[in-house]
Amino acid sequence: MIRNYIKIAIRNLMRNKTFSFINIFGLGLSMAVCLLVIIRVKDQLSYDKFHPQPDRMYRIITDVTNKEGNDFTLASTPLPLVDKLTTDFDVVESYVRIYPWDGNAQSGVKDLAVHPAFADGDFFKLFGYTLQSGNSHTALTSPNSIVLSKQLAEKFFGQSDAMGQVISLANLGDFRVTGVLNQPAGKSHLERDAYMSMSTVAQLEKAGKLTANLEQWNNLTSAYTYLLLKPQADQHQLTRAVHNISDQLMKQSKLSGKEHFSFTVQPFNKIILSEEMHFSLGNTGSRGKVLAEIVIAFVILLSACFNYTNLSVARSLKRGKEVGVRKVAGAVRSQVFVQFIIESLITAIPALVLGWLILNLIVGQDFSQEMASASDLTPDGSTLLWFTVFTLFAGLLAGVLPAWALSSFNPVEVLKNLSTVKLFLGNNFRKGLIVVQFTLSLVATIFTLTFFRQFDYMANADPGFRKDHIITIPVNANGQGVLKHELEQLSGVTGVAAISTIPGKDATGGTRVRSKPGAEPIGMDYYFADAAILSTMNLPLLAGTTFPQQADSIRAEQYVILNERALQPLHIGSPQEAVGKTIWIDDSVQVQVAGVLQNFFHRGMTNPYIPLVLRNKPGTYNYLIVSTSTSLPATFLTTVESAWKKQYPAQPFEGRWMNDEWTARNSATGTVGMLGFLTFITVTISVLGLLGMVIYTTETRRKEIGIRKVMGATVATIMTLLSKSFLKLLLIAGCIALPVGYLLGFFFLNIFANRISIGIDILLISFSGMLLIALMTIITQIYQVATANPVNSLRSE
Amino acid sequence: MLDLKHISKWVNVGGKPTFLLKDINLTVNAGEFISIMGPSGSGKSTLLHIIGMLDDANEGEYYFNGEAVHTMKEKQRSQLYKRHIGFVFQAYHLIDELTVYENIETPLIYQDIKSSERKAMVADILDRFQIVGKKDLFPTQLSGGQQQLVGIARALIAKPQLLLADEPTGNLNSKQGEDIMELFRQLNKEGVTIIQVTHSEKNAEYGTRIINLLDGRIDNN
Repeated sequence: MIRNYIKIAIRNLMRNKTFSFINIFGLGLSMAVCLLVIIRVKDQLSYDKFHPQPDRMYRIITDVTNKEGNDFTLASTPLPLVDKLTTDFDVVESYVRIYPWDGNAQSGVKDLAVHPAFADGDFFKLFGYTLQSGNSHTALTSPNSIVLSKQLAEKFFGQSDAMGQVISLANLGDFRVTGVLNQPAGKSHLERDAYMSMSTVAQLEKAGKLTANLEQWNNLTSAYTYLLLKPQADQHQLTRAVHNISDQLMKQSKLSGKEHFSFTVQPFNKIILSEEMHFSLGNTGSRGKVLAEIVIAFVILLSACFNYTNLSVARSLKRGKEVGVRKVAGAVRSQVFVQFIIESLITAIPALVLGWLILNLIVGQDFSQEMASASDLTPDGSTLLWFTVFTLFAGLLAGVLPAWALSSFNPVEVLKNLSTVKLFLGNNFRKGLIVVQFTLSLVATIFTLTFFRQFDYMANADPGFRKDHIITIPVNANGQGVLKHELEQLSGVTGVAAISTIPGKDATGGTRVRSKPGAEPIGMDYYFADAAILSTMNLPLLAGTTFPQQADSIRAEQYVILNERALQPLHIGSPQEAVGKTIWIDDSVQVQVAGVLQNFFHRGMTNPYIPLVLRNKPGTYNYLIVSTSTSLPATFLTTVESAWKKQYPAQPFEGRWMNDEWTARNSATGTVGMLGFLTFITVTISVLGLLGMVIYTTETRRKEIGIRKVMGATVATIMTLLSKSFLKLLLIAGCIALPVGYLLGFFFLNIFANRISIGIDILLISFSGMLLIALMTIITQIYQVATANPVNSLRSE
Repeated sequence: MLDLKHISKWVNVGGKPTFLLKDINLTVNAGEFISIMGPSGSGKSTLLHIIGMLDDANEGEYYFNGEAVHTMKEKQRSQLYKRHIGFVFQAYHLIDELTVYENIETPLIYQDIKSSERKAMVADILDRFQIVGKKDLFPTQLSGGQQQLVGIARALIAKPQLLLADEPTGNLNSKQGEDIMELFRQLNKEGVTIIQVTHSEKNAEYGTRIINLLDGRIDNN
């Protein structure tokens, strides 16, 4: 019987080529998106699966309520927590604290940025990592030991043995390699590239190379606590224990009443896709994002399924006779139902293949880089299973309504006179679906256009500083002065300045500024920069001067430059008034205001003007900013690189044109591309749906049109007659979508400090574009019918 | 074989019942060939549908081989009619997407008959109706008479006791019509009970008994 169903399904697909194309193409497009989301979600869910005792593993996290009464959760905990927990309570079998550190590491001539973490000795036992070389029992016990990931070991030492080699970490000193990790059996949210023995921390803190955190309960954010419960203990006991500790702490602390925090227990296998946390460690994924992706994919799939439903129900008049015959031949409703479900499943299979092809086409394009990489597209067994399950689901989703409607036909009625059959899913239902689809497409178009305009505006807006013909070079303090001097000598270079962070992206940090000791502190952003920064980046002074030259022997901070926005919170009336004033920064350092700058968007166009203080402290600069004459070609970068090579022969040159980086950061090409792609799919699917409906309507009204023409109707009146009902649907869709799209865009733009307004033009362009495409679809179809000779259509009846 | 007692059927038009059939009493014995005649709207097709269990009466009792059809649930009825009744339609009602062979096979599929057995049964009937050469054609490739032949073959494939035909020759020319009626007579001789609805006096003559319907009532018996 099934074979019979499959046969007739395939014959139907082949016979109605246009409808099959519309169904398969639409489903295929939507499936491409769904497959992408499946791959991404599956990847996210594949994290943290290889650890040996996941049921007994927990992480301690911190719930904080701050002075303003806002609640938030930190993934981190204070370092001493675990000592207290193991001495006062008998629930923990073993524990590992992860204490991340970022910086540069050097071995021989190689100097690389690394992201290691300090970890306790039970690291291997708890997490199930294995060593390619080294002894897992001792590798992280003695101070100054480091275990490298396989990749990092290869980066530093290539094929030669890493064991016993010395790596020196900037500011921390030398570490001996005591192990190299095997490639882990799966993905983990712990993705540090090296682990150092926790016993080193005490020594480093004593030497002042690390902030004293080991005994500090106040530092909630520097480390993470993972532990394995004893087999006889349970989560409740652990929760009680950590609550007990935090309650005690709150009693002793002077924070009580102002700020409140308590520790909570998080099961290890709940870390991936948990609620959003501050200071989260590694790639734990975002529940909100994943949910949003699933919802978007589902909406698009639903839209394509609408097409299938719509066309199948519309064609049910044709299929009605078949249902009648089958029922008379003895079929019961469930058998007819199954037949139509199989038909929709069979349509879903070529759609899946098409979706897969489309996915392969889009992955690897520029705009899809953030969505997936080509390597994710090699399907393994479980992905294929997921795809199969999904295809069945999509087929059911598309087919269940028409199958239900068709199988309900009464054979006497359909066999007697088809046109008297009342469709369960009437005309209004189908029209409703078209309205929904076009509303969705129109909203998507409006939103995408708004999004694109906003980012285009931000990429090209004037941030208040010079960003063109400027090269930024990340460089550490060592040898920086020499390089700076070298660069100044190059012809075409008009200025070189040093700064701690590239403006336009972010500030170096926040500091507290007081107008006099004891006054209420004001939070301000800051950069460290040298005197040349003003001329190099064309930052206009409103009053005063840049940093005065001071003798190299004076290392302490003496002068600062404020931006205009910083004056008002300090109660300074005018820029002129500010110059020469003394203020206190970092709670205690006394400095003099040298000058006041015109405001500029130092955190990028997303943020408004924020109070900013430029500080002057040699040895704190991480970037050189090189301004060049405007006539230089882009290849000037290689000239700069050769100057760099003289100074740092072993290190890679990472200089960039600031404008390129600014544009890349602000134009959000990836997101615009993705939105554009999704919009394209939504629009295509709704146009396909419309096309199907138009074809169907004209086909069923062929006879009526023939009669009208015999009665004397002109082609024009018939075209109007047929297209009017469709145009009405589009207008309804417009009436819903335009305000919704406008509101959506409006709320979205509110995120940005510098924003465009949604012009009438965006709405008009979207709507008229939609109308144009739809009209073309309608007219090409209707014209054929309207101009046909009525004799043919009347005879064939 | 079948017994209709006080069968009435009505539809509500504007709140008032309009009778399609009124108090029909009819007994049909096995081996009869009955022609139902009457003007348009007299209730011929409705009566046929009720006998075929495709439609319900509003009132009255219907016994098929002694079983009370009027008390059965739809599923039981469907079990009953798919084993015992075959249908032939004026407009043939073949499934366009299926070949001649597959069209004839369809009722067997719904009776869960094994594939090998089905093959034999279909081959048998193709042979008997002399349409073996047409078995892989689709209905649209056949003439009207040939299509009706296929329709009859499909109705007979499951070896029903009762064949119901609703104006089987209505869409055919006179020669084709005669052939079909000859076939019916032949089948009747072989033991198939036949009830046909017809407009044509000539065709009605093929039957062993004529029932005249007028405005939902049996005129004379």
